Amino acid sequence: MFREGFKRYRRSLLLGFVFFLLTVLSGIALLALSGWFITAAALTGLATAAGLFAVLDIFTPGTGIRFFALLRTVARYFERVTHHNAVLRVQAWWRMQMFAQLSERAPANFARLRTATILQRLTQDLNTLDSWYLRLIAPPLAAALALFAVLVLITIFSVHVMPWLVLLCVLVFCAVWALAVPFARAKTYRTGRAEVEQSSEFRQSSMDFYEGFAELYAAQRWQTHAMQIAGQGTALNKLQNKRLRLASILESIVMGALQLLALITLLAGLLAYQDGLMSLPVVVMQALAILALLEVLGPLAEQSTQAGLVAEARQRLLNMQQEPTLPPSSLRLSAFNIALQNNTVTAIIGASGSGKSSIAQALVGIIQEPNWQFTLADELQCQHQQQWLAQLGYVPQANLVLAGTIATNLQVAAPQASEAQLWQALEFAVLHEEVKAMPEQLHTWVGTGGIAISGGQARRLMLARLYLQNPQLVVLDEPCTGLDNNTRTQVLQNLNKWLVNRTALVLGHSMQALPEADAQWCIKEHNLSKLSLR
Amino acid sequence: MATIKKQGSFAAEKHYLTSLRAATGRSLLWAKVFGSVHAIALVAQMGIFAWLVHSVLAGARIDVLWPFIGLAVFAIGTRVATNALQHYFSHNTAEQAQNAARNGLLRFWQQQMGSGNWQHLRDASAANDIVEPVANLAGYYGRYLPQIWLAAWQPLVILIVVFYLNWLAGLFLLISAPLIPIFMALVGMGAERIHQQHAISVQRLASLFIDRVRNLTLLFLLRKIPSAQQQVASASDEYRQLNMKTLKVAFLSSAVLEFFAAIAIAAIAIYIGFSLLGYYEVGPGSQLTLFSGLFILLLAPEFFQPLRTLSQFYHDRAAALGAASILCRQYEPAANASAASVKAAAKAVAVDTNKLDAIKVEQPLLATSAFTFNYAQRQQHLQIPALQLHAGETLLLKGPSGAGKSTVLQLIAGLLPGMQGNLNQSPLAYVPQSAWLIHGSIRENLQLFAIADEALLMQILEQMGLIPLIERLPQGIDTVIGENGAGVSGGEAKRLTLARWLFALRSGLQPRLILLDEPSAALDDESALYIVRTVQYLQEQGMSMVIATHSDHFDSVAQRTVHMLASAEHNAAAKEQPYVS
Repeated sequence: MFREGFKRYRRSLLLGFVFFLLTVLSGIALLALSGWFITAAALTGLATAAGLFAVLDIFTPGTGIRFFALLRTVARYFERVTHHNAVLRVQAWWRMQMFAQLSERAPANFARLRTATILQRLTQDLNTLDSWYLRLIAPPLAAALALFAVLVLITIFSVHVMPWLVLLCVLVFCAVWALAVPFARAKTYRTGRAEVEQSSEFRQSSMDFYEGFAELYAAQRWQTHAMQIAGQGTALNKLQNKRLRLASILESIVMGALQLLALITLLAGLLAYQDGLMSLPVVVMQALAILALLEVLGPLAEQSTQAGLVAEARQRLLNMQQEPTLPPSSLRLSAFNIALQNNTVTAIIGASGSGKSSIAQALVGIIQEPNWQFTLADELQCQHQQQWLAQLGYVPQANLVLAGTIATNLQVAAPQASEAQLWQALEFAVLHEEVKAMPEQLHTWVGTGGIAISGGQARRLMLARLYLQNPQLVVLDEPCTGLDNNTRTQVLQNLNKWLVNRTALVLGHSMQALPEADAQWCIKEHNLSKLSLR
Repeated sequence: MATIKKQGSFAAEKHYLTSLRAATGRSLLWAKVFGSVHAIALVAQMGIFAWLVHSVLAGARIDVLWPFIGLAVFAIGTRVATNALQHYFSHNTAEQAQNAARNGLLRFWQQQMGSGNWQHLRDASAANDIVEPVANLAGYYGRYLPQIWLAAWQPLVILIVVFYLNWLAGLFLLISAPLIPIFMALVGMGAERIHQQHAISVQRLASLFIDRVRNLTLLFLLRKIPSAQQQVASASDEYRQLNMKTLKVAFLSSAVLEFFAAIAIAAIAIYIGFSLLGYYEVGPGSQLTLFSGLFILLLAPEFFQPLRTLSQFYHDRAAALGAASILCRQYEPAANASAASVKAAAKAVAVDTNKLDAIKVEQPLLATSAFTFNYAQRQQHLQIPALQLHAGETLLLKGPSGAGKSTVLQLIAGLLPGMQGNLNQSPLAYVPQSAWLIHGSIRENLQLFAIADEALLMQILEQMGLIPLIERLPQGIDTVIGENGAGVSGGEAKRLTLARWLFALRSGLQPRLILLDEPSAALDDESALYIVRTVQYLQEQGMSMVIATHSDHFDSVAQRTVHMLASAEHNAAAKEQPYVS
């Protein structure tokens, strides 16, 4: 999936790469040509001063220098624009694919995606994946091509005079590239993976620690745990530094090797010049071309050490796509068959932990429990999941609030609803007065990044959404959690009226917390049994 | 991440960053020293290169140049060593700054806990402060700070050398030098804008994406998954377009800097070339040699290089400022945090200073007078009744929810300020209503307070009726349970937290007092039974306990009961009914 993202946008990536290469090559050309020009000018100047007739075409190299200077700047600009654009596109595509794959899971697994750590990890890992192209693919390739270009240059001018220099260049170039790319990757691969692992562990234990503040403090274990957390942070930094230190050592070696090679090339060239075998400008040009390679080879080692990080992030994302295996359920509620009469309200009473939420989930179809059977009127029975969901309104135990305005949260159930209808729904849920008191009313941002609404408000938002959805079949799991007595009474009154002519299954820990029911069931000792009607 | 500041002087943030710098010791200094030596070695190396070419042109034999070749090798060696050392110390600086930031935050938390300000720390997102913002400081200390020195030092060294060689070329560089800060400011502003824009849009996009993943259940139920997919896609695209707009501006401003540098280098190269050709009869150009010409040419790019590098590191500064705005909150005047506690503490003394005169033969474990506790944030006043408890006794706090039972337990545990007593000096077992389980194996969860042998572990699991759970889980006792105890039921989680304490008790950690908050609430019958049995067992072991509950499970085991009444506004007095079971 991740490779496919690159394939999709390979054209824009390739264009970006071409600009990248152009930047690198024009940088080399600029320095090499300048060296050539100055030396040639000095030679000509000397010759003229000595009274000899010497002519140097000053305009072609002069224009060349200006051209490469300009080209480098322009190419760098376009390289950055095209590369960033392409990478952002790839990233957007990955995100979409990731979302699509997660949403194709069995609905029972959705709840497991709600934990903060999993979500943070998802964000973090997707961000790390950016480096894949920008650090692990483009720079080594460009560096290899730049090395090759300089090698070609040196071969053209030196192969007849000193073939050994060409051979030496081949050796050194291969060595520095191998050092900065495969060697740096292999050496830091495990540390990099460990780093991502440690980072996620550190994050998790910080959160665990923070949540346990009260217990740890009372038990006088706070200090010990704080030291552990500090130690984990230090361990993470140590891993990072281990990677970065190796990168900087490799970088220094690569730079030293290229500078020595430039020195050797210069000296060999100077000897050849003295023997009349080479021209001095060419000698300087070759040495400067090698020095110019530093700009692209310098950062290479550090970039390569990202390999472990990227591999680990990718592996974790791939793991996340796989369907998790749920631990076997701890429910011991025995088999039952419950009939939901048309246009009646059926209530199930049970203590929390008795499995009533699972009954709701089984009816809705989020979990599969073959031993639990529900008998429904014919017109409510549908084979197709989408049809079934279309007539179903389900308020689960957990409050599901989208990051968005109150209006978005309501319109997700009824996209066509007018503002008047939204207010009507809020009135139904006894939330209208509180929303009216908010400065931005219906356009108040709630959920992530918005104002914190209380559990009771979120609950009523769910009920308002249900009202707008206007379903035929209603499943309410503890509809009044978090509501104070007054509000609860009003909400229940509204629900009682609204539930007339609808089929409903309502679940709660006591009848007081539920709308009036026509039939009552009770969970006692792992059995569902019917209570006599009032 | 908190909201990003739009404007402002960042005075507090800068102060915080400076205070951390002190903690990095000499690492930063060494990084600067080695960076500076590197710059000198670089200049020397280029000079020798130019000198070699010049000498050969002048007719010198290679053999007489050996000392220079040796010097060149030495300069290269120095560059290799100083480059590695500069990075070594830069990484150290970053590491030390992060350690200092983490320790500072932990100290702050500890101090908050110690002064009963636990309630101020209950924002769950703050747990991340020690991870993300601290990590965002690394680039500032490891890259930006050393580089800002080098961006001044290296051009200065080069400028001096170039002036010495040819004052006109030097002047040329000098003229371009003051322009650089202007361009730097441009680039800097661009970078800051990118960073802010980027941070905001990344955050928006990430939170949209994350939010939709979080709410997959809702989207599934309302058949909105396809439209949510569409939304994620279009938001990503919108984000890309928005980002590209700001990026283009920033790229353009850095392109201007580069263009400027490139033109300067090209102009110098052409000037040198023309001088060497003898085009200039007067001025410094006429005295230019191949040595000085080549030397200046080699130095010109290095004059601009540190500035270009600095512009790349500019976002490190922006990131660090963002992180500092989160982290420096701890250094804000403590008035905000401690005002509530002082007020509450003062109130506590003011309401009733009469010491209880019920002095028994033995010193009671707990003897406090009644007082009013004020929740500063919630505008809530709670009447805290007088409490008395002797060693080995069990005190029951009963009453409806909202009466302040949990608050009393937190006061006893020292998590909230105002309760007199010396219990704070000894470990207490506080078991809150929601079970605290860490992301780890069952074994790790049980061994949080004490580590003991396998046999005892199994014995306690059996005592708590948790063997079926262990048998059910794929890796038994080593199964990792998720965040919020995913994989275990609420009742099992509760039993695990009690098992943890039974385990600690048997391994030698003796709490003076056990505080149980609603131990049997929202539990299945089986779990509730185990909890009641455990309480009885603890009593047999001679433990002292305070249990807050609204159920009747523990009525028969308690020696004392305090009834707390709901709604403190009615100022209803709590009454104590001591009786012997």
